[in-house]
Order: sequence, then C-alpha cells, then structure tokens
Amino acid sequence: MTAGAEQTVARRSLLQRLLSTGTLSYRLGLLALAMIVLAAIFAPFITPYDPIALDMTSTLHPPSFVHPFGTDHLGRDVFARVLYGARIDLQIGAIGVAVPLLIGTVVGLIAGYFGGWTDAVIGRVVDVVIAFPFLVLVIAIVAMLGPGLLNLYIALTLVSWVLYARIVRGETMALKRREYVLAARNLGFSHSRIMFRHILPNTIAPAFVFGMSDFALDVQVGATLSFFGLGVQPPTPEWGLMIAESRTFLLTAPWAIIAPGAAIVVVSLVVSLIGDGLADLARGIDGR
Amino acid sequence: MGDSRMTGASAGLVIDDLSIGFAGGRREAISSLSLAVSAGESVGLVGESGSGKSLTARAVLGILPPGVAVKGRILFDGASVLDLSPQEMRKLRGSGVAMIFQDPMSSLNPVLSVGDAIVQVILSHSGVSRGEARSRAVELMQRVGIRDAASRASSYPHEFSGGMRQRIMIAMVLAARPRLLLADEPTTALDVIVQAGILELLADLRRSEGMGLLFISHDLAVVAAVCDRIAVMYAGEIVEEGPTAAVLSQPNMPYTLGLLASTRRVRGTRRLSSIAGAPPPPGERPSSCRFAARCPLVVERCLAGPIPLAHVAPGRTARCVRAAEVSRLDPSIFASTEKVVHV
Amino acid sequence: MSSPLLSVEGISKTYQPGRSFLERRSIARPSLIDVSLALDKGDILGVVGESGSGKTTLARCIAMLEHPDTGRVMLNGEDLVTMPGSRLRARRRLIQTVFQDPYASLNPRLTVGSALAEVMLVHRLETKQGVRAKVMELLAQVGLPASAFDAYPNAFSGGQRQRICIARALAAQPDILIADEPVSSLDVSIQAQVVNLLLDLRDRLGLAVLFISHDLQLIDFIAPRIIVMLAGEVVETIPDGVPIQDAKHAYTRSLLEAIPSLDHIFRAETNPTRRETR
Repeated sequence: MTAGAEQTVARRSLLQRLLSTGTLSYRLGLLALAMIVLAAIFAPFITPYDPIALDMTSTLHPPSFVHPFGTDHLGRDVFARVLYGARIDLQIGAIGVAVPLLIGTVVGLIAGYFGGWTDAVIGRVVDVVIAFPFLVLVIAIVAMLGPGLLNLYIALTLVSWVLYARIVRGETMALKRREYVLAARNLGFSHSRIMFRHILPNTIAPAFVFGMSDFALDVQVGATLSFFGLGVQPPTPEWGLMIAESRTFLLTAPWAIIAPGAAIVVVSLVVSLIGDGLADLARGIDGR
Repeated sequence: MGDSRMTGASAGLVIDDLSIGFAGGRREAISSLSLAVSAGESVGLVGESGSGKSLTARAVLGILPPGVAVKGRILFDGASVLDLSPQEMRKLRGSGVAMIFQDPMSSLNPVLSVGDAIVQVILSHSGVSRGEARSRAVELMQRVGIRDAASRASSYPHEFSGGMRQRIMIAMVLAARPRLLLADEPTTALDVIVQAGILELLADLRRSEGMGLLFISHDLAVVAAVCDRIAVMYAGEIVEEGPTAAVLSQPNMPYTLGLLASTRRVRGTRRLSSIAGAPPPPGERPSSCRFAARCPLVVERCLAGPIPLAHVAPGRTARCVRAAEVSRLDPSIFASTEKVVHV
Repeated sequence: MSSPLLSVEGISKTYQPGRSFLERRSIARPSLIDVSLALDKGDILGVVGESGSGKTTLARCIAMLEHPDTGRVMLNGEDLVTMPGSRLRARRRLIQTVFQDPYASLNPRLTVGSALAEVMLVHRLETKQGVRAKVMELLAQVGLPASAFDAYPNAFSGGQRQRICIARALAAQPDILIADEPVSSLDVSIQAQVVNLLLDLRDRLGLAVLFISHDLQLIDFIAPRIIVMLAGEVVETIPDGVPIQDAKHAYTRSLLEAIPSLDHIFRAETNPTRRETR
C-alpha cells in the first residue's frame, strides 16, 4: 500500500526531528541512555568477569583496579553484575512501558473516539484499577501469580495500561472535534483509518512522555520486587536483587549496595531528562 | 519622518522611529514606525496579519515577547514608556493605557461574578461608593450589549459564551476609564449588531472622557466608522497615513487601493478584486518598496532603493513614488489580477 | 421535472445537554428547526446568520457529520439520514466541506501530497501510479506550487492552507461543496483570492455550492439565492434577482443597518474627474 510508504516518510522525519532537536539536557539524556544500552549489550567486551561466577577467595573486596566496584560476599565482581544487571533492568523498563503503552493506547483511542457506552464501560474499568495504589497492586498480582520475570511483566501491564488509556482517551476526545478529523469523516474514511492515521499520531506524544517517567518507575518496581524475592531469582544479576543480597553487609561492604543503587538512580534520571525533553518537543510540534 | 505635530503634543501617545526585531534584530518585524494618538483622538491602524500592527500595540503596553530588540521611543503623556520600571509600567497599564485583545483568552477570574469583577475595577480607579460602582457596572454591561444586565451581573464567567465573555472583557477594560485604549481587533469575533453597539460606546467614551483610541483592524469599513485618522501598515512599516475619509476616498498608495478593492462587493461583477500574492515575512523583505512584488503599478524607480514616507498633501503621508498618480486611480485596477491555472 | 441534486427536507437538531447531574445546564435549545432547502448542479446558495444561528449545525447535518433528529437529506433521490453506515461512507465524498479554521482543518503530520492522495486512493478514484500526477493537477488548479506536494501544513499561510483544504475536497470529486465561513479567518486581500477560486471552480466543475457566512455583503455578492437564519430557523429566503437591500424581514434589515459600510466613500468616487486608467 502506498499509504504505508507515505507513512514511513512521515515517521522517519519525526524520528529525525526527535534526535536532532531539543534542549541540551534532552540530548545529554539521549546520549547517556545510548551509552548505557551499548554498555549492557557489549558487557562481555567491557569486563572480563562472569557476573555469576563465584570466587570465594576474593569476597567483599573494596573497589580497586582489579575490581572497579569491588566484589560482593560471594566474590562476584560488582561492576560486571551492574553491567549485566542493566540488561534485565532496562528490559523491565522497556517491556513494562511498551506493552501497556500499546494496549492502553488502542483502548484509549477506541474509548475516546466512539464515546457512548463503549467509553463508559472502559472508563469504569480504568477507574477501578486506578483506585488501587500502583505498587500494592503489582505486588498483589505477582504474589498471586508467583515470582518470576514473566509474571512481573504481566502484573506491570495489568496495572499500568489504564494510565495510558486515560491519557490517550482524553487527547482523542479533544482531537475528535478538530476540523481535520471532521474532514476525514466527511471524506468517507473508515473509523480505523481515522483513528490510527489521523488521530493516533497526534495523541501519542503525551503517552510517550508519560512512558518515560513510567520507565523509571518500572525499573524501581522491578528492583523492589526482586528485593522482596518476588521478581528476578538469584543468581541472576539484577540491581534490586543485588541490593537485597548485600544488605547484611551494608556497613562492611557498602560498595556492593551503592553501585546498583546508583545505577537505578542514574537510569531514572537519564530517562526523566529524556521525558522532559520530549514533553517540550511535543509542545513545539503541536504548536501552530 | 519628523512630524511637528508629534513632538509638540505632550498629552497622548507618541511613537517615534520604533523598530522591533526578532532573532537579535535580524528579522525586523517593525521598521522605523512613527505614529501619534492625541487625547480624544481615534487612529486606525490597518494592515494584514503579520504586518506588525498588533506588535506595535504590544510595544506600547510593554508586553513584547522576551528577546526582541527594540529601538526608538514611545512616549505617553511625555513619559518614555520603554524606560519605565515594571511597577510604573503596571500602574500605567492599570489606568493610563489599556488594551482589548481580539481573543480574551481566559483572563476572567472564574470565582468572581462578572458584575463583581467590573465593580472591583471601578472601585480601584475612582472614589465612588459600592452602590454607585454597582450601577455603573450594570450600565457598562448593557452598553456592551448584554441583555438583562442587572440579573446577569451575578453570573460567573463560565455561564457566558465566548462572545459574551469578550464583551465583558471590554466592559471591564472600559470600567478603568483609560486615557488611551488600544483595541486590537476588538469586535472581529462578534456579531455585527453587537459590534455596532460597542463601536458606539467607544465613540461616546472618546467624546465624554477624552479617551484616545488606537484601533487596530483589518476591516476598513469598521475603521472608517470609528477613526479620525488612519495609518495603513504593510510588511512592518507605515505606507500611508492621513484623515480617514481622505485616505479611503483617494488613497496615495496602491496597497490601500488594493485593500479597498478587496472589500468592495459590486453586484454584477463576476469576481472580487484581489491583491495577488502575499506580504513578505520579516527577514525576506526587500530594501526597496516592500509592496512592489504585488503592485500593478510597479516601475523601475520602485525597485531602486528604500522609499521614504513623504508628505503628499496637508496632513497626509504616503510611501510611494507614484503617490500623485495613484490618487487619481480607481480600485478596479486590482480587478482579477490573479491568474488561476487552468488544467 | 426530476428531483434536485440535493434536497433537504425539514431537518431539526437539538443537542442534548450534558447528562452529568453536577453540570447546571439550561433546557436543551434546538439549534436547527425544520430547515428545508434545495440545491442543483451549478447553484450557489448563500446561508447567512450570526453566531448561534445554527448555520454550522446545518452544514454538519447536510454533510452527515451530525445526525439530524428529524427530516430528510436527499442526495440524488436517496435519503442519507436513514442510510446504513457502509453505504453512507461511499456517498460521503459527494458532499465535501471547507471548514472555517484553516489551521485546524489539516492533519499536521501528513504532507499535503499524502493527504490529497489518500482521498483518491481510499475511494479508488485513482490508481497508485496515477495519483501523483492527479495531485499535482489539483495543486495547480487551486493555485499552489508543485513544491507543496512534499511540504507539511505548517509551511503554509492561512490562505494557502484554505487552498489545500479546497484541493482536498476536490480530490473526492464531489457534487456539492459546503463552504462554512471559508474566508472569515483570512486577511481581506486573501479573502478575495479564495472567494474567486471557489467561484472559478464552481464555473469550471459545475459544483453546487452552499456558501455559509456571517458577512451579508459577501453573501450578497456570491450567492444569487440567500437564506437568512436566526436561532435555528430560516427567517427569510431571498430569491434570485432580489438585492439584499430589499430584504423584508426585520432581522435581516437590522443586520443590514448594523454593517459598517464604505459606500459613502465609494459613492464619492463617481466623481467625473476620476477616470479609470489602464
């Protein structure tokens, strides 16, 4: 379909705009995130250590040239574990945002576009889910389903799609009355064409911006659940789990906690920088 | 253009050689603009969007966007507006100079009834009693065309439509009894019957209180109804100025003629007259006559260099090398100059 | 005589007030009461009224963007109001609208070329191979350069955007064009350009035009037949050949009186010393 080809042109130029414009902090955020992702992918080339190999001869070593972030109580290199841990935590953030974003956007689009009883039913479900505290609900669901990464994703999705649905629904209701959407209806376009080609590209920006703050939250939730033993299981390197495992050595070997803790803080910061920048850009693009 | 009237008059507004530029002055939005509005006088500032007319009013009110480069002088009752401190500026905005915007945004306080809002303005600008202020507020509401003003005064802004809120904004601004009113397309969004009432109210205030009026509009007929003098702006500069009736009946600048032609609807003619093309945006304006590219009368002299704003008749100036000839022409020279491509 | 291209028969529309009990709303006031009109190929019908007169509701009901509560909208003898959705969608392209605000009427994320091509491809009016040439033709027809094809709406001024909107409407190859205050947000010199374009297209393509405006003088210039609306009702119909100055209804007369006019200045122009040069 040529419409598809046309869309890629539009999308590429949007992507180009996202990368080439924006404030300094936004660009720094992008650069930092790219470096973190690359470091996670190329972890085997950056550190010689195996993140799960035990070395009982060198436990709880402080940071040195050999072990830049020191070692933990089982003699594992903390730097290597933080690097490999990024793979899991970035994945939690990415999947924890992408799946709910996708589901919430489609549901919100349908609710906002059709209105009426469709909207009323979806609105009730959203209200019920939002009524519970986020973390409590995630923990409850994971506790029900049992620990593990897959169940964590399911819990995150069940809880956070409603937030995206609410954002997109609101935007869609506003856009529905814009004259270019009326024009699209007037031109005899199908509902799905109007929703996905004419409304969606103009409503997705706020959901995306919210997704960036949600990313940081998901990483923290993932870490929290692992800390409680409900998320990732040992010996997998994951930041929250690393903190949990090393907490008894807080006073003797603080580096084993500080390093993964700092990693969580840095990723949250970087992602929120990008989120702020995206929010600015979205305002700029939509301005007349 | 040193007009002796401008420097002599101390009461009222004098804008002298004002230039406003964006992007560090590289894109000049307004170029060497001089204009005076004395007390009780009404001057119409006419031009298309982007000509710089709204920006001129904003400069007078000291509400320019940040980062613009301003040159020149703006005097109000002899005091230089551009040198005022923020506090002094606020005081000036309160009672000296007031502005009505085309789009009043949501500048009405939502938790205050509209009557109380107007009463507050009246109380802060005059020593009348509360009861007196109340009845004056109702009267103002009636004057701007709000029916059942006495009972509507206790309604809140959200209970009014957009057009009604615009009228309430106008009543509120006028309640402050400004000595100079800047009205930026105040009635464009309103219906003609309401518009007629508001224009009459403005004329009354001018007569009874000596209020000066700078009336910004693209509608020549409205300006003709309200203003003593008219200044026509094109692409950031004044291209013609003079008494309204004289300028509109015998313009000295082809652009004015073109605007007149565009508004004239003669039954029986097959097409409206129009000015082909569009005005050049800031940064793309030629150093010669800025209207030359759209002008049906363009000659070589027009493109040679900047055209000064010259005196062409008593009290009248124009920025055109063929000013004398233009005054003898009929708007129909603009009739269907536009070509539509046929396929 | 055969039935007209479009015949609107007694349509009414009342917007239901918000159902929320917290919202204090007055009783629903009808925005359209028993309006009828007919339009044939090449006709221009003017609709004049102030804000709140129901003229935009009328436009939206005819284009089936709002569903009238009662009455019929007959297009080529078929009632659009009772037509099932799938068939209606195919008929929609025959009645096109040019909206008031050119800044809100174009999708900011679609290039002009793709927005116009989409219309023809969806309705299979052009093949994928031929669509580009046809878009270029439309752009030329509304007086836009070929370079507009790859540009986004934000690159254009209000007047140019309105030309794009007109081109998009034409891409659907309509029989009827509803122009709902198409020039009221444009500068005077640009207004005339867009009005002339609409008149040209009417002449060339034989479109039927429903021209809606609050500007009595403009309507009077453009439309031989005029209906005057007030509070959802047609209060006066001014037939072909009757100048608007001869309108009978008190409301039309009060509108005429309220319009500031330059006539006194133009009258001064009939001074015999002035002559037309060129």
